[in-house]
Amino acid sequence: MKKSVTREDFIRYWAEWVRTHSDREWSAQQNVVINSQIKSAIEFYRKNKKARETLLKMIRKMR
Amino acid sequence: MKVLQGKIILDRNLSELDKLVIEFTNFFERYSINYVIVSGYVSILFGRARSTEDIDILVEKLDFNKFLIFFKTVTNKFWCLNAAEPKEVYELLKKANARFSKKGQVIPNLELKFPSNRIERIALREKIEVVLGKKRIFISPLELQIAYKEDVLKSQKDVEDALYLREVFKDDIDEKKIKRYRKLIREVR
Repeated sequence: MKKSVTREDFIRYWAEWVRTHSDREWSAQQNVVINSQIKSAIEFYRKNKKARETLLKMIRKMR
Repeated sequence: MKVLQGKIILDRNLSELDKLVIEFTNFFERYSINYVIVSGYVSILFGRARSTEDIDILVEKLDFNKFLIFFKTVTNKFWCLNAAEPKEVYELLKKANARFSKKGQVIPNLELKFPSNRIERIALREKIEVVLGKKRIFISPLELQIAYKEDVLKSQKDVEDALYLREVFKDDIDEKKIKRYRKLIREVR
């Protein structure tokens, strides 16, 4: 039976890919993930004022 | 990436997160303020396939006047999410953390605080330089990141960050250093 790939396997696999490729190559791949996540989060809080206020309240409470 | 003594040279394409960090830390450079980036962003900088909504930064304890100069310049482009008045922000830096984001945004944000224990002071003192083209930023020693994530934070995300750093820097990580930091962490807690 084929062994399923765990999160740990993936981390090791990706780390090895990073080690064996140029910074430019792996960062171009990684930026697709990072930039899209940031963009959608910024958009979400820009459009959703209630969520933005809730987040700010939470941050201010965490003092 | 090239790992040297106390320095890592990284030739990466900058992500939006990297650009934000560079923009903000430029203010520290401008006023010769000692700082160090700790926690999740460190593993992301070196390729971990995840993002974050906050970047943790330890800043040397500043007197109020120096802080005020820094604050006035920073707030041309950023705003503090959890306080407005400079005195209030300064108090937050001492007791908890002050979160800054680009004006008009709430995330990603940069969480600043003054060091409050020996481990945090060590992170600041033993920080390493990461050269990103013509810019540079300072991060906590990788061995301290690993020890702290494995022994203190321990969440799945943190344990995975530590594993990632161990794998990417497997030829450079100093296990003796990790042991030393582990011992220090135990003493502080």
